[in-house]
Amino acid sequence: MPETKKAPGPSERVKAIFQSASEEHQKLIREILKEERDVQHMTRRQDIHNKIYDHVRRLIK
Amino acid sequence: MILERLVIRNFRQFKGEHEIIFSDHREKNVTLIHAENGFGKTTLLNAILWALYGHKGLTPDFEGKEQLIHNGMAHSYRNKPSELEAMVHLTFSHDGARYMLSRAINLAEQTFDSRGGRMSLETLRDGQTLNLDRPQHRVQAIIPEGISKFLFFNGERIDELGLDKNRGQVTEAIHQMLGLNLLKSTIEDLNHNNVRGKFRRELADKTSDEKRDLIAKQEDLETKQMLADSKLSTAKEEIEAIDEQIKLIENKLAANKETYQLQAKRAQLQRQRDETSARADDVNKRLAKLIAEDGYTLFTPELVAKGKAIMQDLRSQNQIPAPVIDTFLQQLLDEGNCICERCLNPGSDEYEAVKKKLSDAPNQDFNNAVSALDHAIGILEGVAERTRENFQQLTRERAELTAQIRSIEGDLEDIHQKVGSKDDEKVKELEESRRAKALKRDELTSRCGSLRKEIEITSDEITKLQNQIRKMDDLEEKAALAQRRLDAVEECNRIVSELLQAETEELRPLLNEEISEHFSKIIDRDYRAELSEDFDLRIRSWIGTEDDERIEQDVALSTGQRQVKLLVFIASLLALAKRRSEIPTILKGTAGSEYPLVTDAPFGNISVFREGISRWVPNLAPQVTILLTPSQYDGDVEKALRETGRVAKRYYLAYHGPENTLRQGANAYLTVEGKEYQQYFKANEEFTEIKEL
Repeated sequence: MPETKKAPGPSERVKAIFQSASEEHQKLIREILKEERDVQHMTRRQDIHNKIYDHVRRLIK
Repeated sequence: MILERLVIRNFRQFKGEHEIIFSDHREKNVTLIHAENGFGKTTLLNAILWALYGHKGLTPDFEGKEQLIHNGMAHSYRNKPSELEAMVHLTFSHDGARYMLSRAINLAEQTFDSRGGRMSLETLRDGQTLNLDRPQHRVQAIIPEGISKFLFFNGERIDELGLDKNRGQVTEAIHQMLGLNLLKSTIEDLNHNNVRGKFRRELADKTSDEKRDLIAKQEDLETKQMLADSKLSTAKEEIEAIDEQIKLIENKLAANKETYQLQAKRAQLQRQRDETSARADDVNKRLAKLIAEDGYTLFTPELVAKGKAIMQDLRSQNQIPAPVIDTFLQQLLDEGNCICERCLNPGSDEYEAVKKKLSDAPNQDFNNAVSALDHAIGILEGVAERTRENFQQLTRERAELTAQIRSIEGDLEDIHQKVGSKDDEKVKELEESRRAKALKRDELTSRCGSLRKEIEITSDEITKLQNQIRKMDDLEEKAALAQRRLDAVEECNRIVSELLQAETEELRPLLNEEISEHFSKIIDRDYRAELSEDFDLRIRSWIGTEDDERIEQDVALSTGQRQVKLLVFIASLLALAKRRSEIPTILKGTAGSEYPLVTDAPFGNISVFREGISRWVPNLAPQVTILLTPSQYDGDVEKALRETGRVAKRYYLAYHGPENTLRQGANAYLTVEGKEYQQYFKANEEFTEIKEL
């Protein structure tokens, strides 16, 4: 039964990869993924490209 | 996605309006739809696919795709075609929201172009119904067409899903169902010319001429790589199209009385060749891995022998283990006291004696190195022995598989000669056409190989240039900032790519475990599923050899076992996606989702395993809808499904029509759980009703 099995969560390896990035890059990845979630169904990507570009300019000074 | 309600109106034989409410309970997740062959099972499956994807979603076995509206009614409305329409309405929930999807086509639209029609998608939010724009895109985002074939399919044709051949689609399905497409689209967006390209152009504007030249060179290589990627995709599409054409020709040969036996034999041999080739590929990969990781040990026996001789020599000279080492003697001299408590004053006889010993004593570093070398020689010998054994076994296995492939190719060539030399002109023409297409496919396959190699080499060159550019310091502040931003984009890309790889790799053993467990239960054998790195699903088992050893080998599956494998793979993927949808992930939004399984005749050719399938598949997938004939729902299946306690809803299709349209073997009455229901009604007009049991 699926319910009785442990749900596969983020592994130590996945955590380690993410944490290997600098604080600055971790924050950037989080911001980008947040934007990506809202536009997954869109085939036109211009808006998300602009948003990613703006996030990079804002966070990397 | 969980299906809730299907309303179908005037769609093919379903005259008037009919409804199915799917069971959506976690513990009672099965909806059964009983129907004789020819009563409308395939149409019902296609109604769902049409609602989701329109004309292009219809399955290949759904004949007469241009006539979606009930034929009899279409005739009656021929003079007022805009007043009659076929409509399918599907209500479903997905990730906490409820959606109402409708697609309709009227007779006028159908006459003009049956691929037309209208669709709408609404969702309920805060008690209000909102009409969503771009409905097709949203449906594609919820359930991409690429994975629909894994969710809505005819069990008798499950082999045609091509899971064994089409690993790209399998990977795509795994990524989509397990929620990893978010990471994939992020990688694509970061790599896009509007993001990375823009930052690179900014850097080129502000940096030195030398660095600008390297950036231009990198861009040229990336263009080259994109071109090769595009050529590869086109070649793959062409191969798929040719495969379809070959399949059509082979179907015609299979239907011809002159060639049906030869074609059946060819189909069997082709399947054997594909399986054997896949096993040979696997062996080659394992061999390559073994050589890359431990291959060097095969060339070390001479070195090991030399090392052992040196050790032996040193031992015989009492140099190892060293009785006393230089650092100890030096310490005595520095402290001015011997272990015999005599004073070691510089210039004294005692001092000179110890100093002389110091010059002959083995060095501490040398002693450590010799000890490490001794240890390494021991390990190397062991690894070399194991590598040699594995190398021999894999080489033997590869030779056997190559011989098998050659033999099968020979048999296939014989069949080609026999079919091609038939007197029937039509048969000759078909066989020639088949041959020409097969040659073209081989040429394309070879081109794909060259393109993959080119992409690999270019990718390495790009990485080298990228590192070279990064290392070049910028003196100008603006250029340095531009470089930092470009670095950030590339670093984020690298991290997200690694996350995708890690997530995919870590989910693979979980999926293996799920598949192995259920596959073994259904076929009652101690087999283990192994999903390789490129998502090729193998079933392996341990066998004994003449030397009393146990080795693990690929299992050559029967047709029935192969179908069970594919069905269990899909159901296990759904189970894992469901489990993943219930947990938080480190990167919110990358969780999997629930998906339904709707299958027509899942027990088609797997009669031996039907009991196991009906017992275990409902336990795996979150929601299961099974369309089945009374003969498929016989004693074992009925008993197993009853014992799962998961069947919550039951429907049956009632057919109305002239007696001569009733298929041979179809009964007028349906018996379920000991009760009889009339499922055939004599009538002049043909139509089907959906009735709840």
